[in-house]
Amino acid sequence: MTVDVTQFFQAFFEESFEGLAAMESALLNLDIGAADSEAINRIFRAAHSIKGGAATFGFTAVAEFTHLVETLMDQIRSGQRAVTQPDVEILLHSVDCMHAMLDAVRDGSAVNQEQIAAVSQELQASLAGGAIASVATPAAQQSSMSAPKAIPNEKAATNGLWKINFVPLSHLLKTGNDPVRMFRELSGLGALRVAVNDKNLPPFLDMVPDNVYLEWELVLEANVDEKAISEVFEWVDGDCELTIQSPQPTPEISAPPAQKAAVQAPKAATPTTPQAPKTGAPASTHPKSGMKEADKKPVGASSAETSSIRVSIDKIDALVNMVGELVITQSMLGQLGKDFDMSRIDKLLDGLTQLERNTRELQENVMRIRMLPISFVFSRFPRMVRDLSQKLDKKIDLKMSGDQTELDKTVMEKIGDPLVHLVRNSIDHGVETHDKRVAAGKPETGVIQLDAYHQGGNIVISIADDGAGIDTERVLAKARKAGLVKEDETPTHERIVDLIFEPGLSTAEVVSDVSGRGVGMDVVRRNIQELGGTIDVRSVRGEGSSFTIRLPLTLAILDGQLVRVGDQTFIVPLVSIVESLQVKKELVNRVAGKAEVFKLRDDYIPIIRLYDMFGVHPENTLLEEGLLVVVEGDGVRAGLFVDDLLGQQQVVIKSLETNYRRVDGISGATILGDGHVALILDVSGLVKLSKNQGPTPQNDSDLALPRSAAA
Amino acid sequence: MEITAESPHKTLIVTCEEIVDIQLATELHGQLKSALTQGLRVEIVASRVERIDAAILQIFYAYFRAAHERALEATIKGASENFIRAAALLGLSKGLGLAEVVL
Repeated sequence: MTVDVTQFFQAFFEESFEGLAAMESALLNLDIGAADSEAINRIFRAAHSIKGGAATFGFTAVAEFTHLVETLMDQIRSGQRAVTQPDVEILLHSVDCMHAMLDAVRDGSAVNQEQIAAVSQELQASLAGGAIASVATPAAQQSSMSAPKAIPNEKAATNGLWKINFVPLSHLLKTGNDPVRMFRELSGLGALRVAVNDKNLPPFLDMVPDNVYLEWELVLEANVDEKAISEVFEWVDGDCELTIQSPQPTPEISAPPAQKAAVQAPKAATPTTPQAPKTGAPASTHPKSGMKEADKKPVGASSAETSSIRVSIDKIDALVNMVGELVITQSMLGQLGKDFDMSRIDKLLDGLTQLERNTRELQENVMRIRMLPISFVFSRFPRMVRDLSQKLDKKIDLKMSGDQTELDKTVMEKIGDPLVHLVRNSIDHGVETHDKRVAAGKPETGVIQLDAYHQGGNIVISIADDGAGIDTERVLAKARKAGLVKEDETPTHERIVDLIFEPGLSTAEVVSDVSGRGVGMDVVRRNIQELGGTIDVRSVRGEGSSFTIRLPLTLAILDGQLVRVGDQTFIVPLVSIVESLQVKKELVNRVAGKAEVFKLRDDYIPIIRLYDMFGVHPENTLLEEGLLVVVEGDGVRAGLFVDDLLGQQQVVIKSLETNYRRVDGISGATILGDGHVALILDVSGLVKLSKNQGPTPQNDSDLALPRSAAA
Repeated sequence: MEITAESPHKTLIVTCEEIVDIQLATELHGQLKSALTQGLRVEIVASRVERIDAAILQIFYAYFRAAHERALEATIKGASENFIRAAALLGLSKGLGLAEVVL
């Protein structure tokens, strides 16, 4: 029987990326010189799992590279070497490399071989005891590649006495591994001497029969490389403490694995595959035929954004529980319906109330399945702040709270980039250099605070810094220069601060690769608005800035205002509505005899007649007989002319594109309680459409919508 | 594995089958524990052993150490080549009273 291992790839990638995130987080928190052993073990375990999975699935290059990381971590955790800053730097770069290699395997894309080779060299040099002052620059990497120091793990076969210290963990025998078999294999490599250490062997009456208490010191005289020895212990990695002492400190040099092997798609298992288990202990799931190295096709099912989702068992249990409740209610109503008479109307109403409650709770529980903690996004910031603050020679302390606050997976995936932009901005423009801070009487170390919490039906994310704040004078000067503010106009402080979201308005004195190219904040606001959210900024000169993002918890449900136009019902997202009002005829003007505008206080806003836009027969065509719903999309306001406001409700969004086709000015549809289909308006799209006066080629029949959900 | 107690001689005889592995560890340990508390002599017949694992060898080794401490007799009779080699691989030859072999 062959096992199709490709079905496990997705899970492997997800687990590996989680492992890498855990490694990075632990590395960033390691105290140099007094490292927490649990943190070190966590990093080691993550590397070990990734290596094991990569080897199992035939991702040889990933496995080989990760093996170096694992070996370095093993030396640290066994106390052979102290945690040093250069080691942490190398390990952080290794995490980046592993991420890139896994991405490349999953997506079938290319990977920066030079970077992999350089970091691989550094790992090997570090393992061999070479001093690494700092992570090499690209030039230094090149030179180190041409003059590597020592590579203890590779093909450098060394004739001599290998000392092996093997301390199995007590459960090792239960894993199906047997030291007899392993040592027999070792003895096949050369002359073996074995010394047993029984210091931990308890009195016979107290011993647990299937625990292992013995430890061994082995001396192997053989002309082999370390890899050949470590392979013997491949399947007990993590179940023992293993030290292999090389007989020669500097064996001959060979090319690092990353130079030899590109990131590969899984290859067929052959007897020479390094990771193939020789002990025959646990059953191998090595890829069989049909998975050739030459096949550089992506092995991931899809990109990261559309991948699967992990759900905690609590959520599943809640769901199962709720379905159980629903079945009971359905059963009760069914029973009631069998011999119903009006005397039992109260019971029926109770049952319907129960059904409504069950349905609402079921919906909430189902929605919770898509909810993930925002730590998935926040976890990238410690590393980013560390790297950028080093680069900019700033001292910054990142504080985070609420990282377990949950939001919809899709929202999370889309909010990542805007958040990155905001944090980078805070690092680059917000927090001052330490000498400037000291001169300003501030603590030397700046603080960036990231918070997330739920408020109403929204998630609120705030990014605050105690930096210099926004220079409103510079912003105003630039805005005037760009024609965004008239010379004689005196905008409020809030308005000036808000101008940073205008396209092309950057006040950065130096354009860096961190931020300050004048593109960004407008894109940030647009991306957030596309998610149905808002962003506000507060800033006090000299004290800092704070950006507050409000997002809907999910994109699957929308808070909407139902409006009637003729016999059609449309839904306007509540988040887009500014106000609703009755139109006074004298406040309406026509521009160039065509477009209608409404004077809203000091502003003129275009009027969009929805019946005209969508070819619906209206009840009213006279503006003063209907209502104007003032909406804002992409920072532009407009008035939607409707016959009536019906009410507000949460609606479940259905894709119109999937079920019908794309319609300009419409973002989706929903089914109302009476079975009617209602269209959800795309306010930004409508505003754009209004400029062209009507959607493209549409007629009445285009919007002849089904009148019932069944249709 | 056949374990018999010969009460007249106060001897527990453990006769090993071809394969002696961790699955028998609990039963073997129980019998030897009983023998130890009763002060029985233990004789392990290992002539048929083709494969023996570390769990069983560790129990034998621990028993031999305990027996030695209590001045009880414990012997391995007619150990097969595979038995001797497995014990040597674990560095237990001396503790089990077996001949040393070069690995």
